[in-house]
Amino acid sequence: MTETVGLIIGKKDEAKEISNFIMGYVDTVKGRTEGLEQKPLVYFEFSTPGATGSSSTITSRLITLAGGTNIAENETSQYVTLNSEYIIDKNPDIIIKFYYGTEPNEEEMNALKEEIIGRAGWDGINAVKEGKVYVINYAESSINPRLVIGLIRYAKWINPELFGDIDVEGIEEYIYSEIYGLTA
Amino acid sequence: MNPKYDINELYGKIRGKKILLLFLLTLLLLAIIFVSICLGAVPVSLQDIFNPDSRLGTLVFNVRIPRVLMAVMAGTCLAIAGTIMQGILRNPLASPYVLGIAAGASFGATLAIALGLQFVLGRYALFILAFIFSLITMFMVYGLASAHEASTETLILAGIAIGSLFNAMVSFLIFISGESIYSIIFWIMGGLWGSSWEQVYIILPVLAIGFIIALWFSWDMNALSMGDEIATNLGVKVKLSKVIILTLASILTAVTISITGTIGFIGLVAPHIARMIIGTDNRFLIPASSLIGAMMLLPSDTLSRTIINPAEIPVGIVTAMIGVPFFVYLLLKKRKGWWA
Repeated sequence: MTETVGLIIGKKDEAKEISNFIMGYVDTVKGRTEGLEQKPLVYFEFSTPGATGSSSTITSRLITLAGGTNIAENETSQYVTLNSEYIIDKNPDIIIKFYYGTEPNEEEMNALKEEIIGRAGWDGINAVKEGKVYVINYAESSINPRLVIGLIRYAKWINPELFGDIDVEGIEEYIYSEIYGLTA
Repeated sequence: MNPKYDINELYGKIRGKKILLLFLLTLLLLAIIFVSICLGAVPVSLQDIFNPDSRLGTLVFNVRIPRVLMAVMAGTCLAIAGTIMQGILRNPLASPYVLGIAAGASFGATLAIALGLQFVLGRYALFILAFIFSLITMFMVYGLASAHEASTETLILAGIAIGSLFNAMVSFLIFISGESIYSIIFWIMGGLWGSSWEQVYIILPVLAIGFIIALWFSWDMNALSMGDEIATNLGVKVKLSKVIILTLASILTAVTISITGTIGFIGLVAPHIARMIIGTDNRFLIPASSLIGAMMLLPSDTLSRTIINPAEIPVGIVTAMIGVPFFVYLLLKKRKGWWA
């Protein structure tokens, strides 16, 4: 896909480089998680409480790649609002909340996390008990080069013991300076 | 034969019948509450439901029961607000939505969120701002309509106009605050999904006190239904009663909306259904309308969370799908005499 666009806009080599960069990480993650027997349960949430996506969403695919199991992967509709008691009963090990904003705002992201922790009955969920509730910028989990950042974050959250050696900052740096041409 | 005796006997009979009707409605609501507590996304046996120490019992107690109670109370609050607004304004079209009060309350709550007040003052900031703006809307609409002799049409048109203005201002606030405000609005005014005991404790005293005040003023409202002049002659302090009752309707609407977000239809229709069943005497109409408001929202919410298990569908869809055909049926069946 990236390469096709590269071909169209006449930047074949650059596109190849980006594609290689992303696919490199995808292959690394895939290689490390493929043989896993224990795949932690993951619940991710869009802006509305309870709103999540089935296996056909990008996030769900990233989660599967990162070695987790999306609790909603078998739902029939792609986007679905799950009942609160159902989520509690499923007892996910990791909760991921999307933050929608052009620029990440620490205070707001924290507020989103606190809200999830404070929900009625959610204190019994493994993810809440073990402090594994994370907030991520939605741009890092949708179709654009940044999704590789999301993939690595997910991999580190879901299987921290497998991905201790990869750090997100390095990838961010490459994407923002090399691909987007931004200077810090 | 003393004719007075006959009237008393007749009145006693009608009164007895109405009290019996209220009693039956209460029993029906209790039955619906019981069924709603038994139904849910996670199947829980009766044994577990009544054992709050078991894992599933805790789940039911912490999540399902507050949600059922919130549906009951939100339905009741909106129904009372609608009933007293229709009564005091002598307008069958009055409701928190039609008159723009709901839009005013949403604007207040959104403003509190946009200013970040919930971080500073907690959730109460929302209620206060929602209440202030619902009150402003109420008196703007009422003032606009009174300036033109308070005709039925002016009131409704003023409500729709001011309501649209506040809705536009909500959109504007969201527009200038950036996308991130969406998530915050959703978790604060996200319907009944996240109902908690904390919310129950907030809305319960408002509802209890509001209900008592509404009943207290039911005689005044009965008198006012015959016109301001007659009410004045009957000893009602017209202006004071109106201010108190309209303020009460604003509080009930504001508190409900700042917790559940917008739930339409019930505030308009529940009072009409109640009036068709029990008549226009506010002493009976207000309790009946409260029960019917609860009986509209609770089964709708229960269906919305169980019909495509474990997914949920928006409660508004269910409310309209069940409520509208039933309402139309009543309209056709009782073509006249339901609005005195």
